[in-house]
Amino acid sequence: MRKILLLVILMAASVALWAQGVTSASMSGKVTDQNKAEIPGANIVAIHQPSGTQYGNASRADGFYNIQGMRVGGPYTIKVSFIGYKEQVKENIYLQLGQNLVVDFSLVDEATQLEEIVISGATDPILNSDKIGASSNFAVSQIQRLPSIGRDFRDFSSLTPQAGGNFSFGGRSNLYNNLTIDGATQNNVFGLSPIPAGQSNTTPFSLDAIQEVTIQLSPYDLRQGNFTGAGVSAVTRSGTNELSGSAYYFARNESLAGKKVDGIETPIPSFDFKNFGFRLGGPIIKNKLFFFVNAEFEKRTDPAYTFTVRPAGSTSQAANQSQATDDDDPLTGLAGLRQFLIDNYNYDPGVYKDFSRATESQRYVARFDYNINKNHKLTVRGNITNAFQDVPPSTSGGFVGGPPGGRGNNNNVLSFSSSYYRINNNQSSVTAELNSSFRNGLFTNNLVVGYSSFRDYRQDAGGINTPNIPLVDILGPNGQMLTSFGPDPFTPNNKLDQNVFQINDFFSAYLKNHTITVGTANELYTFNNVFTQIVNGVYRYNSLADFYGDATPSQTANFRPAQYTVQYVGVPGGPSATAAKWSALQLGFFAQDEYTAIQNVKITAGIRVDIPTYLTDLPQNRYVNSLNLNGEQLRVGGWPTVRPLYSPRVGVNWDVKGDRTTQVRGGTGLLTGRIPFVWLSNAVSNNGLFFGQFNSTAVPFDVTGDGFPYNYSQTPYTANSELFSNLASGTPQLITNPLDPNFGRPAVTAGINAVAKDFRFPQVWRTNLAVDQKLPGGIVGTLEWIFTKDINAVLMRDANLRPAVGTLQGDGRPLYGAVGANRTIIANDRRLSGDITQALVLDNTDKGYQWSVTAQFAKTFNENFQLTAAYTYTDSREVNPQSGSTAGGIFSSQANVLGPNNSGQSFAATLVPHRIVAYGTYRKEYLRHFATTVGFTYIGNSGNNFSYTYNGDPNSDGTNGNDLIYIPRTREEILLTTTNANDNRSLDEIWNQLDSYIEQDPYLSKRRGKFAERNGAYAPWVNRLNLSLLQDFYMDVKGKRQTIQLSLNLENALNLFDSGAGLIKNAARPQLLNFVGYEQPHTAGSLGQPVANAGPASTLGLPWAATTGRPIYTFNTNADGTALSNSFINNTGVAGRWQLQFGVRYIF
Amino acid sequence: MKSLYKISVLLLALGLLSCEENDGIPEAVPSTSLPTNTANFLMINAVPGGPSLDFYVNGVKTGASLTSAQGQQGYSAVTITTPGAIANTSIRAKATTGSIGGVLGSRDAIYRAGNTNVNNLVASPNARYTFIVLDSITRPAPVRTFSLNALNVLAADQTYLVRATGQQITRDQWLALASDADRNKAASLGTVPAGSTDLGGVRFLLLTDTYPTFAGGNTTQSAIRFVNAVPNAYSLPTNTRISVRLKPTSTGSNITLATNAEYIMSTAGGHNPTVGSRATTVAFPLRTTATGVLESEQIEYVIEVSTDAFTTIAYTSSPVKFAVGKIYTIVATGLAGGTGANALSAAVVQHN
Repeated sequence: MRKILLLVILMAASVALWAQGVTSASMSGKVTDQNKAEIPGANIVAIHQPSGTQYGNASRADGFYNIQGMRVGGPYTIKVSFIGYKEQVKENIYLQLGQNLVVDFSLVDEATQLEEIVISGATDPILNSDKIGASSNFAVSQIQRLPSIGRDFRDFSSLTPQAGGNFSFGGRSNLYNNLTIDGATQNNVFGLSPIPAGQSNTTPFSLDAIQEVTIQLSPYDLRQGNFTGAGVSAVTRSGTNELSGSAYYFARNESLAGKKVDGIETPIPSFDFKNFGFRLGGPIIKNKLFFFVNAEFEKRTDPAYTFTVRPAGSTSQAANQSQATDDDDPLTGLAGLRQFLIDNYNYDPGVYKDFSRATESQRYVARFDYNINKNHKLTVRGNITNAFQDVPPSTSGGFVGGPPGGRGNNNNVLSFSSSYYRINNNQSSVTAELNSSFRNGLFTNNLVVGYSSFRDYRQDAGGINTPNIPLVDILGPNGQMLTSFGPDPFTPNNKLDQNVFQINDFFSAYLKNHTITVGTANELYTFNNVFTQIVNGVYRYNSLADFYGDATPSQTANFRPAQYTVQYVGVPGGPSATAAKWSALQLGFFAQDEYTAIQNVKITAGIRVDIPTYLTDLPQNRYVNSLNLNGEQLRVGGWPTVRPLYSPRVGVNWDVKGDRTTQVRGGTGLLTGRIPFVWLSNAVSNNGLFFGQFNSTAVPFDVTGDGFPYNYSQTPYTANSELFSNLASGTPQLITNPLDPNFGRPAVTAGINAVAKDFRFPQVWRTNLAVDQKLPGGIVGTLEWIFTKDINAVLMRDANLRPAVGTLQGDGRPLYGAVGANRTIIANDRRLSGDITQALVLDNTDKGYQWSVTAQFAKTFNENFQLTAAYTYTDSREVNPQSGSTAGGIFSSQANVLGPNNSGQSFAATLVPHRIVAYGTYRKEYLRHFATTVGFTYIGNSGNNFSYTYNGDPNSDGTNGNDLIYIPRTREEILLTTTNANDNRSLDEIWNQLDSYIEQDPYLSKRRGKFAERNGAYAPWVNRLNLSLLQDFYMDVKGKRQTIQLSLNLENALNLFDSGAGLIKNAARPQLLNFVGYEQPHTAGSLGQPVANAGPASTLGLPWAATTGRPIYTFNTNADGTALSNSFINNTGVAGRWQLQFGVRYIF
Repeated sequence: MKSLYKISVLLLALGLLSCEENDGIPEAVPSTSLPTNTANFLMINAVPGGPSLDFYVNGVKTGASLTSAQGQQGYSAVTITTPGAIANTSIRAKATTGSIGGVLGSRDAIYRAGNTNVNNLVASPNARYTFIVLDSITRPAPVRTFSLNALNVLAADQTYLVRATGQQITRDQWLALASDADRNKAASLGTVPAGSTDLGGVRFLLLTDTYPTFAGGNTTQSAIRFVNAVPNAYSLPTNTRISVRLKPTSTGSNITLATNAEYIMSTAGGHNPTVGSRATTVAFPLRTTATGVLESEQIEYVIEVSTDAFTTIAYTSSPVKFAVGKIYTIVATGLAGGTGANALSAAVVQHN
């Protein structure tokens, strides 16, 4: 029977679809006698005391034993017995997630020792032969005691010394992590957020459901994979033989937050946060079958508008007010606009004041642990997360520049509530894990089968369905956005369904000095993504009066929009027919050996192969694929070649003196990860077949003279059926302009995304080297170095971008050409083909690296008192930002000097160079009914980095805001002009203000005469001290402790005592200078017109010429007309102030 | 164990060797000189009852201070960084002492180009610009009452201000008034509709100057253009319009510069409702104002301004001569029916 079972498992593994991660712990060690002689056949029994679950094995011929698949946590009692020897017992052993705790036994013969030997206490988690790579671990006791005002597991993962901000580790993108719960992938593998439900500002599980969280940065255990950032593993709690549980409630609001920022009374937006739930665990069959359930609910409301509308008739604007007025002022009045829309279109655009954004989540976890017998243990876990958040409208313009001043909420713009949207994140997952032992523990097997579904979709704020009407952006009197109404342009039809099926199987054999593990880990992904940006069109008007003039009833051609943008649907069936439905498979196989033959040395070595595979045939765009783009032919609709990615790894742990006082550990190897699948999905959707892009800025007329009048009932344009069939087969042809079949209007083009044929998933070569030393006073010191070299990093390039045609006079950077109208390629046109805008190709680069060095000190006084402190220096470089949800976003965000296809290696956006982490907890029980627990976390780190760029596009590469600035030394090195009609500064005054700004800026002042670097500037240092206080009142009732616990969580405690401390400062104006045009004489030929005899012929046979006009910039004042004189401004939001959260909990 | 140390050192060395400096940041080749382009600016103060004004280009005082009905003689060349897509050269007028008063109060008169109400002048190198500050400082600001009807501001739908009430009415409403007497009580706001950002009162009129071509061997002609800057020179009826002529003080013929001319703001500029400033061009007609090139051969004139087609003369200037080959602008200023500081007048500026 056992053989049949084994065979079934192996067969399942061989054909399996795989999963990832480690869900349990293990133990190993050696049993010897007092003379160091190996004792084979000794009986080792480990008992998980809370549940009575027993794990057992016998020592092998060499005296070694292994026990796999053990519950995380403890305490465990371990008994070792052998005939003729006195039984030895070790108690209070706790196991960490993924840990293989080494516990050796030295038995004494009965003749020598008459009493049972009982050894109590945990083995050091650092000074342990299992520790090789960099990792952090947070057990349930720390999760309960350390402060976490958001009740978010990321509050603990951020205590990893090598962590950066926002869930990134080691200077790498947070999208390169792999998050597993009970071994099942819980990533949002599509990559729209680093964690599931992250868009709803929640986490996929409650802290009360978590037993332990582990962060692995450089694992040499080949079971760990699918990440090049960090592997973050969590395991859920299990039921025990005792019925236990807890019910809890936490709350905070604006009255429990700082009122001042840096000494200045600053109104705080009202908000309300509530988190409540319960957990319950216990036996169904004692020692056999256990259950655990948790349900948690979280509700938060925030004001949609932190800047308020000005009162009716107001002629001045206070600091916290928008320029909009609560009246029918024809230039700023939102009340008048709302009434106008109701009267003329029967459309209520919603409100613009007293509107709250809701954030809610419900999270459920149920887990069952079944001890089938001594050798087989089954765990089944399911969880459901339903969450949503109301979000301000996007500030993006999609495939065109965004509206000036954005659409959010600031001192310019107040958008109507109809432009806010709700993101819904619903996720469910079920996982089954079977841990088996065969042949008296000689073989073990771990099988995990999982399924996760993610259902994300958008609605309008409040959860109402999105109407098919356009968005209207209206500028105010100051030229910045005044308001928007109508649905957010990225919300209509927006939905994403993901399914992840996974199976992994790890089979281990314990041989003399070797533990051989082979395994397979497989994941099947299916995606159905509908993303129809701007499909209902976006109108932009220069003034409210212009909109009124273009709207019913007085619509005239004199008031056409300043810009009209629409993405039309190019396939029959409308927006829903543009769904990117596809599936992919990632197969993984590995073999590794843990070698222990060398005294005091443990070596783990193996090789893993990952094989990304694509299962869906995609529509081909034969026309685009036929284009010759500088010798490159795109493969629109083509997947990258399937090829195996090998990850050999070797790690060593060396107990230098053999007494675990000095430990050298480290290793090297390749890690293979995933990319966010949205980057591949971009290529599925943006193939030139599904959508065409149209943008008109011909104000007020287009070529036909009738413009694009406001059309409230505009529904998505859809091409006729012939269009798609012609493109899918037959003769390749251009895309028809559905806005005007006679091509009377400006032509429509398409944005193309494609994947390079040789594109490979990210791979890094990671090496770590560490020394752990037991220091006086029981302190364990660690010095750890980690180096990561990108082998295959992601690079986004524009294949349709012609090389630079000249040099920008004024700073010497390459200059690109302009764009011809109506698909026409003009001389030095920056595009190679006029039929497409950008052709963004997902490709690789081997540039980029990260390294860090960490010094850490940890001391565990006892189980109630622990302290840890660490300092980490990190360096991280990249060519291309490795974060973003669209190809266009990734491409356009790489600030550069030499052009977007040649942006070079620079500081990573996720780099945090200096970071100090400290945390600790202390618990004291007293007077038989009281216990007090205090905890603290401190994180001090360099501020966010950022790039100084121009607002505008002086190098004419077609992307605004990605040109790094030149930092002038003298007045002669920059051409400045006034900002606008209200700017009464002389040019000398403008230069003096700019010069003073540069001088006070710590970064710019050191780089005069040079270009700024991408992400080279840093915001000031951030100190963040969080405190927790738990006060328990308990008593025993029928032998069981009943506890009422009151809690205080103080976030940003330094700010409570000094409003100038604990501040978060942001860059005041990263886009420091506005580009407004070129100086005359300007050789227009380089940017649009043929110039005879101007240079060598281009590939089109047209002459080239370099522009001679220098760029002209403005250096804007602050909104109140004062000079910008400080590089940083305080974050006046809640995050920059102290907050206090109360909680009450009942525990039994 | 020594091998482990060696491996560690090797890995460390490899790691450090793999660290690369940033690339993609070339040596900059910055500019080494300030802009050399210039444009030419000239201002005329035509504000009835207004204070002395200073003229600022890009924040720098340019040319002489001007009292009401006075113009700068000759252009000032100002260095410009231009042209760009938007905002380049800022133009403003401010009171030499105190404030402009009236509607603007302590604020400056600002030239606003484009249709977002904040754009500067996009000046071209070597171009010549005449800025006339005009309109009455005593005129109340438009009542910015929301009115859809008032937003239809095509030429046939100009907006009128009923002076007695401050109410703005459309041209149709104005035409529907019972009599000319009633209509005379309303002043044209030009093409500025209700709801505009036009503050009323003082504003800029920009004239982009293109010099005329004199015939070869010209010995008798100068070029003189006329601008009606009298804000209550209503467009209807005709007897409230402005007529201007040059009348020789001795021999010679009258030169009529304008008959029943409308207030220039009634017709200048585009239709955009959000801009108070206006821009237009006015040609320089050639006039025979001399018998020869010598000063003694120049004919002496007085400028006569009339509100009834010269039936009566409301203003007569001091004698003035016009040199051969020179270019002039004559601006009628003041208010029809005005007295004292608001009396009708005429300013003469010489461009070259």
